[in-house]
Amino acid sequence: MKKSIFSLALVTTLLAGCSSQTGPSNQAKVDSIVKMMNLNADYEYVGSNSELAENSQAVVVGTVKSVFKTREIVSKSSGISFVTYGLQIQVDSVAKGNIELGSLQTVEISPVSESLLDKLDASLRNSEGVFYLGKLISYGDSFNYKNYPSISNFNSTWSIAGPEGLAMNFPEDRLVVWPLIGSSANGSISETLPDGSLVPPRD
Amino acid sequence: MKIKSKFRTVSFIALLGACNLAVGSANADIFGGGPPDSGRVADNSLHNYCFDGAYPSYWVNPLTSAMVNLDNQTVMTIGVQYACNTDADVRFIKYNDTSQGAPLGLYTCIKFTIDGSRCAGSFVFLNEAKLTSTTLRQKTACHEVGHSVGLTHHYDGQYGGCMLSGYYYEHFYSSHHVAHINANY
Repeated sequence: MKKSIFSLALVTTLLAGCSSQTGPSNQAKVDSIVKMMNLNADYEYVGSNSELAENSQAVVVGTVKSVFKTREIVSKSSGISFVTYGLQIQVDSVAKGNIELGSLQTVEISPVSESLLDKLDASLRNSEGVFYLGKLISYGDSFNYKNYPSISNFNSTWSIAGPEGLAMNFPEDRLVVWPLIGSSANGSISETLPDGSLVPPRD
Repeated sequence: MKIKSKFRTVSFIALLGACNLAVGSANADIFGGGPPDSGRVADNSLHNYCFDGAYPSYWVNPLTSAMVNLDNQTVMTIGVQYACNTDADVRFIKYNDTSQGAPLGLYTCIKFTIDGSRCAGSFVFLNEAKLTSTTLRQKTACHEVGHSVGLTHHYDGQYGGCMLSGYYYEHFYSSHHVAHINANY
């Protein structure tokens, strides 16, 4: 009898230990999105939404309408080029800055392989996110720029103000994903606004 | 009966071992799996680099030092391309992101080997708005070059060296990271 109780306790403990390592069921979805970003960043962890907001020119909640190429950047010395891509978002609410509610804004992310654009579009279209926005990144005078029509209006084109400044919402799973740094946490998008306390967990 | 009992004991130990192994793997830092957790393994141990555009000496020197350091500390051998081509394992590109929380640098693989398992060409973006000192330029170049051979970064100082993220000034690889590199090339 003692043996059976011991065995039962041991099995329960082992199974509990194993299941805690399995992670959330939506891990595949998170992995898929962050892998597509194909980017490693060396950055100073901010870890505070209010500080992120201070670092930003605007903070909005928006819904992704599409993902497309924004610029082709061609090296003057080598002729080799890379493309940047952007998320077109419709602004649902404004936490900071002078941005019109309901307007369309373009948020340029970073260079990415062109072959991934369709997949990114499929993954992110109609998703809601919080966007901490900064001035559009410049690559300097060593490059020629070919701008796609999607960013003809530079007044509504932004970069993300720091890798922690993009948080996507998956409400059906109560999950928030920071795709640029590969983090995720359980919670709601409202908690990632400047007065919220949900920040990307560190490794 | 005795055999059954022994089998049960062995099974428990095996199960326990499997779980512990999983914990151990999760806690160890990974190598070469690709962003965002780590860089990608390069196609071979010859690591070519180039500068895209005209770079003044206060940029060329620390970036070159970072490459020479890779050569000196590890089994990797470096080569310079005087004109960049798509095979450059590290193409240094300066950019300017003035946002307060902007990254110091970025690494992205732009060309893969035919089987897709390794990186045959990458861009290393260095943010001139943030890299205002020679030491910081060298540290960040060391960090991004580390990604270009497959290293992951860390935040807690567990291993030390230039793979620590953020404003630190060590511009060498820790022995832990050197061992990772040497074991994979």
